[in-house]
Amino acid sequence: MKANHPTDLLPAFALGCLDPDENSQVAEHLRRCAACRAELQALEEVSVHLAYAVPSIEPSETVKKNLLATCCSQRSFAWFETLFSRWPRLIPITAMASCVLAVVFTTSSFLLLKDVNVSQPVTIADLQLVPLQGAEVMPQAIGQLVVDTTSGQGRLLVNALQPLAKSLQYQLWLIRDGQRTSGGVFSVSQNGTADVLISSAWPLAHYDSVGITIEPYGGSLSPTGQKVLGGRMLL
Amino acid sequence: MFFSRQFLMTVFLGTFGRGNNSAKKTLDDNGLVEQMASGDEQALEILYERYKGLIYSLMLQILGDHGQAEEVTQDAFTRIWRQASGYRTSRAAVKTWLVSIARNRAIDVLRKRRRRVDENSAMWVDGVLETLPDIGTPEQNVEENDMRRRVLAAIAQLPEEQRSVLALAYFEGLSHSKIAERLQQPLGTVKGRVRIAMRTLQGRFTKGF
Repeated sequence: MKANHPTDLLPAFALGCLDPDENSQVAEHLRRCAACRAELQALEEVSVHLAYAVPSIEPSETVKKNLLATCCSQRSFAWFETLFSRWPRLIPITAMASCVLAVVFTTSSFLLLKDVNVSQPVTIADLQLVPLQGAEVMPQAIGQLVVDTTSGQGRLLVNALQPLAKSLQYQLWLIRDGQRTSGGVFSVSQNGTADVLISSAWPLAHYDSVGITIEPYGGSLSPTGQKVLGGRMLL
Repeated sequence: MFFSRQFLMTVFLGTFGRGNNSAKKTLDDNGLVEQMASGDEQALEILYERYKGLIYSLMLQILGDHGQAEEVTQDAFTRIWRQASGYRTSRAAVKTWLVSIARNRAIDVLRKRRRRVDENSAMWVDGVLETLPDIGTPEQNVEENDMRRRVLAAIAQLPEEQRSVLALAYFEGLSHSKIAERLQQPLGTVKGRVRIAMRTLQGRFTKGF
């Protein structure tokens, strides 16, 4: 070594042939000596030039194919790697932010789950959705009342109701304090669906529940047949 | 005026150039690595085409096995791809970085295996090759073949005892003491031969390249 600079050892360090103890000493010196780092850089160039001293042979095409397949699969993570390698302080910040977001989303999802109950009406802006569930005679039947809370008018949507004989129709009943008022009669398609404009002298919020029964064609003054769908308004 | 042509080319390609393979071929190694850092696999493909012969040939010389040489070649380029975002031009040229990664990896494999497949020490090619195989583009061939001739000529001029210690260090990754043991030479002699060989080559490469 000259004047505490490991000049004589740098060529071997560039080649990677120093024994471990000398290698550690030189590595330690290089951490604090810019002049030796510059000298090492020049010697590493020599090491690269030596690679040209071997017979030139091409690898098979498989290497390129595998390389591109491997690297393309990692491409989606390159943006994060770039970001985090340039600003490593972002790693704990991002981790903490992710944890906070996870807690927020979990809590909000839990609260939402508590609020959204399929047996309860749901309000979307000026619309209220009232779910109807099939009774024992048609458990597969489902329906929905879509009520405009501003005008009080609404539509009935049903699905999976059995098509009826020509002499029969379904009838919607609007119920308040046990009193039943007809909301209209309707038939369903071969698929069991129907979309009916509800006929009511009062805003639908006036009623506390609804029911659908099977009645003679044209409807009845009061329910006479079996109930097939029902639900509570709770507007 | 304020930005280098290379910088502007890199920014342009980064913004509009996805898929413009021919324009990227004009980028230097640093430009390609910058593109790779943003996830551009075409830049990787170009860099691979540029250095596949150099890296694979060296891997084969070190390992003496085609399968392992291909595996380490692929691994070296994969590492470059993964570490592209952390590359700093001030530390080393891309080629130096690539050769170092590949050679270190090959020597690791060799050490784990404890010996070369053919059980013979890898040595320098004797003399100056008159005919070298064509690889890559015509310009690349001319440049690379010229480089090979110059390097082989420089090595050929070294005394045999320096050539042999250099080969054991470079191709087998042996330390000073292991080389001394293998050649049954004093440790100090081996250290001196390595140092003189490297300094001589440094002088010749600086003058002639």
